[in-house]
Amino acid sequence: MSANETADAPTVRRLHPGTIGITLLRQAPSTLLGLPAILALMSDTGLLIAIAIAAVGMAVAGIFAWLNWSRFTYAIGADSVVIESGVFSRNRRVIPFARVQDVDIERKPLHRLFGLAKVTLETGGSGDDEGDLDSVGIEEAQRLRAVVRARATGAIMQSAAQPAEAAASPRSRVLYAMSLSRVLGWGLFNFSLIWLAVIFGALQYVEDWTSIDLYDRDLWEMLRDRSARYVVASAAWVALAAALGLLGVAAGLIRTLLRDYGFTVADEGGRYRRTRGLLTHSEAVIALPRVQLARIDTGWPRRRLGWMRLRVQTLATDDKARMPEIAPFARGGEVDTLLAPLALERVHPALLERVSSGHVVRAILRQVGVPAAAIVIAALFAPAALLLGLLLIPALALALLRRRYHRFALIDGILHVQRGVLTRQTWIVPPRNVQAVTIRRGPVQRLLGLSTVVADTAGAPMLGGVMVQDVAHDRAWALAAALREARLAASAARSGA
Amino acid sequence: MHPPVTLTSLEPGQRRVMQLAALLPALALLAVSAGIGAALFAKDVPLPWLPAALAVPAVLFLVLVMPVRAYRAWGWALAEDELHVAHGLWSRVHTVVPLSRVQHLDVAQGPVERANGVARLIVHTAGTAHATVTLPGISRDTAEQLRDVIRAQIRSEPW
Repeated sequence: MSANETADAPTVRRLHPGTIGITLLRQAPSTLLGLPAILALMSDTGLLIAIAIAAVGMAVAGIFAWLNWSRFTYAIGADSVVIESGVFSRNRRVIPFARVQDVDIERKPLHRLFGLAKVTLETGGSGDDEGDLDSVGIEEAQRLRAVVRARATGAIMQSAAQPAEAAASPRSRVLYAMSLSRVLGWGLFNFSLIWLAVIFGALQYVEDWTSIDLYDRDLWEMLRDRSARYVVASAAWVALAAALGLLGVAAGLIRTLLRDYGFTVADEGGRYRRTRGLLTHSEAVIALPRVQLARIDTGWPRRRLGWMRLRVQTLATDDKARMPEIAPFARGGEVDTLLAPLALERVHPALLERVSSGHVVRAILRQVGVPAAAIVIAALFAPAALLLGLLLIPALALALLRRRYHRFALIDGILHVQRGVLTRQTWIVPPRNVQAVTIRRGPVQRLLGLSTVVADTAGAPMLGGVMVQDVAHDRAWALAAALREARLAASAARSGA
Repeated sequence: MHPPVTLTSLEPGQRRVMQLAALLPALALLAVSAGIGAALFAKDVPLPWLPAALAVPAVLFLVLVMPVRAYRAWGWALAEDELHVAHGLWSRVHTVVPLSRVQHLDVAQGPVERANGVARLIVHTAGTAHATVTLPGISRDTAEQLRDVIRAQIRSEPW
């Protein structure tokens, strides 16, 4: 990109001066919050002095922001990014290109106001190792991303012994894009009642201001009497419930629109680039060699309508970046297109093998037997608890269906695992990314001759990773052996290439 | 088809190490039940010695029987390209680590372990749920030998 970057002495750069403005604006609320307090304290000295104090406060904040800005430098060296910061205690951070996984560009409304962007260099280490450049100009952000990405991918490619031309040609091909109507459709499935808490919190204030006690029995009884007929009152409750439901849908729509507006994933030869967001425009780059596995999940209503979500698991350490959404709301064909650069594909569930029928026995014991025992004990004290037994019917139905939807197979050297009755998840895992295989047998499983096979992967959640529950003991070991074969084959193919 | 390897048991010294490790919680249990017994005695409750009397066989079981059974449940094997470690009495856990997936290795030895002539090999992978696989109760020589063999097999493959 620029020849001087590769020279021994790399150019040392500063952040965009607009950073000072952003810092000041960010701090302004807390700086100015003291103003009313000052006013109250000096009610006799008057407004002018209070304003003068506030101005001095802003000026001091400005000097500190300027100092911070002037002491923050970054440089792109031959094999690493060096970030130096700190006014009094200096900090020098070296991030080797080989460790950089993603280069994210994020633009919050304040950044957009100044025409700037925040660049984050994500590394595999703990959160502290991350390099934030907040903020640089847009051209500089794009230049940084191009340079760092090319070198980071170069570093990966070298050790991966993969063709280097992929890094050289940054041609971009859009794999997946969400239209506005698609985003809105997806929003309809994101029912959210979080806003209700906010509204109820606000109601508390209404209560204070209007001196209406919401929890006053008389008030509600008066309202009920006033509505004259109980039927009318219950109609009002139904209307309230409907209003709450609509509110939930609206909240989900708005949240989804803000987050996923303009969702686009492009293949740039060796990496996905994902852009999305209405007010906060965020851009993430996911290097394909860093992808550990693909996961497709879909809830019951979405599945009925033919929609599914695709995520990949990366090595990033913070939870948000670990399983980025590649397509939140997609058709099967679109998921196939997105999986193609990863050399992964979906397979029909009928090609997968069901786990042992003992899986149902265990599910019934755990999901029906244990609650049933609890209900019986509770009924000894309060017979009405027996009514809870009705809840066991759907639990039993789910337990009976579990085996039907828990399937696995190793097809063309790729592990496929499907699990879940209502929310169905499918993992697609290249065995070379399996870090360890654990075969576990609990006491009940030993009685039934079953084992659970856990395939540990990098970046997996502590619970709910890739797991095949309750297969016959022989099958478990056969699966472990097959995973080994597939790993060796992939490794041989790689070193042969 | 069972584990495709024959597992090696741990060094006999590990049995002592595990019994000593069980001793402290067992003594705590004994102290608590003795305390309860003393309180009952002070309140003139009949049979105040009963909790302590019940605790004695429990402590003997926890120190003499359980560690020995847990010790027998451990086993390990170094196959061609994989390390097998099995343990667990109640839940049997058998972990297979491909040597090419090992990130780094530790050999550790505490004072009690040193006195009983055993050491621990700790294998770290890039995974999450079983990112750290510990093989206790092998002789220091075996541990160092294993470490060298595994280190030679770690390939410079990326994750």
